[in-house]
Amino acid sequence: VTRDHQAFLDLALPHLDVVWSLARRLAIFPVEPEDLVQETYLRAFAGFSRYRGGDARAWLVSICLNTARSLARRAKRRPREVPGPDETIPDSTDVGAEALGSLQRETLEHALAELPDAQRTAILMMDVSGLTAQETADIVGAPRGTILARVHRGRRRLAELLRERDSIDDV
Amino acid sequence: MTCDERRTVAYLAGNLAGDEAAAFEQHLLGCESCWTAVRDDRKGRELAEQLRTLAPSGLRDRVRANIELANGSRPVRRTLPVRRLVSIAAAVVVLAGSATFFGFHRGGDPAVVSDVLALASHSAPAHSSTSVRTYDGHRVDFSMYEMHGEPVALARSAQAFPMPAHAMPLGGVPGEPWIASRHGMSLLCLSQPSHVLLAGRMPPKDLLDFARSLGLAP
Repeated sequence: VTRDHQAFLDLALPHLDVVWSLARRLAIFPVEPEDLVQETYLRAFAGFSRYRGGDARAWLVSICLNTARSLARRAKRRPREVPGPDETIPDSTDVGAEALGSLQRETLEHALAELPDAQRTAILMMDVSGLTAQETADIVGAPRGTILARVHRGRRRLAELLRERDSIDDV
Repeated sequence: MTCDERRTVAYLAGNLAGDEAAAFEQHLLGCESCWTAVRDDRKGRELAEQLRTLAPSGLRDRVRANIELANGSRPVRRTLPVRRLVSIAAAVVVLAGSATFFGFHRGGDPAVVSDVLALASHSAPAHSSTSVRTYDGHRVDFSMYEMHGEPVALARSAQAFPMPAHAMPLGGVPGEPWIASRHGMSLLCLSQPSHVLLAGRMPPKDLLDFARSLGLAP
């Protein structure tokens, strides 16, 4: 991999949707999700000379998670739990939009925000970002089995929360 | 077979050997608790995957523009650890905190930065309209322009503009140009040949081109 900025863009930009999906749920007031995305990419570019190959998506997810945490520590504010209705992006196309109505989507965002942080992080990394349990374990610094247990409990809680709110059909 | 979350997790992760998996599936037929756990895991995963979203249109271009600007304007950046850049930015903000010119609005940005962002967010700018504001005795001249149909706010001052948190210095030291992103808008601060601060809903590179067209940037 050459170290010029075009090589970086070719490697990193294809994962913008993943970073955006993550940033929407990790951005801390007053940092907006787009600011977190920009900061993630600038930090990744700054560290590109130290990038040793491997899965670029996992690399960017790791940087986004660490950036969000460092900004959160700095802001010392409570994490934003749910994007409000006025924060939706009208011109973005959500993969799940066709399957979920706006009300159900809002309920799902609330349910995700209610999960314990460790479970929420595991779900964001595995189910939303598409990382493997091992990649997630390497980034979080926990055993793979622990990650699998966290994501299992988080998924179950998501399903339960939405069932309790009568927002999904029981299977 | 007794109910065990570890076995359920291993089954869902595909970690059970063939005979173990078959035995667990036999157990599922008669165990409501384990069946519910498997069913809810699959439903929860399906729901979580629906949280994947596409980035807003234009974000890709803005990220690309920021990287290109950082790459082209700041040759020292690659060798300067980003943590140091961030700490420099934080230090500038802390040192600047006592003066009104650098005072903070509720959103966390210095007052003059918030004001130039507010001006740029106006949907119907008056072409080349101007105004003057004073921040703790420091005069700042504001001008409004339009570029590609988007309003651009320009602030000029004899003093260096304060660098807000999360801004990216382009020279690595205080007083150098910097860029920042707020609510889909870009901020570009230049110090040569004079102190100017621009804001607009466009990539920083376009703001730089705009500044050059006015002779505000080399």
